[in-house]
Amino acid sequence: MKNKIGRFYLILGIITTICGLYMLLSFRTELFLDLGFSENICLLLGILGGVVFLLGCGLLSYYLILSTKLDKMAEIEEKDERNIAIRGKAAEILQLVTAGTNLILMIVFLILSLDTAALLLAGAMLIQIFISLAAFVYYNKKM
Amino acid sequence: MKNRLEEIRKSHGIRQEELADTLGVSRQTIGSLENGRYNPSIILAFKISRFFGMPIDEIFIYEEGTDEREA
Repeated sequence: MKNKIGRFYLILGIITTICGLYMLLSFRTELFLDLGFSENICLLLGILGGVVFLLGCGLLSYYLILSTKLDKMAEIEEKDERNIAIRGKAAEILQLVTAGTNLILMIVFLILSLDTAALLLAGAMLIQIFISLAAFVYYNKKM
Repeated sequence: MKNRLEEIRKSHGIRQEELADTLGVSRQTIGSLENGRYNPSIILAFKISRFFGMPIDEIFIYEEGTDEREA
């Protein structure tokens, strides 16, 4: 389940159901919560436990009913061509910013006489350029 | 590139969500197409034209001098 809303309902449903069940069991058997509550508090615990348990069951049912729909929506969002285009443009900007930042960092390293760091960064940038060229050649042949 | 998607969709009485579901795209994509902010891929254009049973050039209007790299 990729959708965050779905996960939220699932976790909330499990927690609420367990809490409700615990309260109901405490009310019913008094094995789990032996605190010497009065009869009224015990009854309240039972009613509240029932309500919480039902709420938890409702949330879990809601999750189960919606899970298929949410999964389909998540799949559409992932494969949606506009989203792919947006991700591509964002990646382009990120690549430019990364290259600029690396260049600035290299200049700073050189000014600070951190030759090893500058050399390592230059190596990393060369690898990036090499991978980028290799990917271009690969897709140039493929497309 | 301009298009008549909104007009055609409304004339068929279809909501954006329904069209998006049928075409397998998000509702935002349909909205962006209708507003002219996004140009569809050729596959999506074909899907839309087949869905409405109309030729592509009756839905999408290409104008000379339009920069294809936009959108």
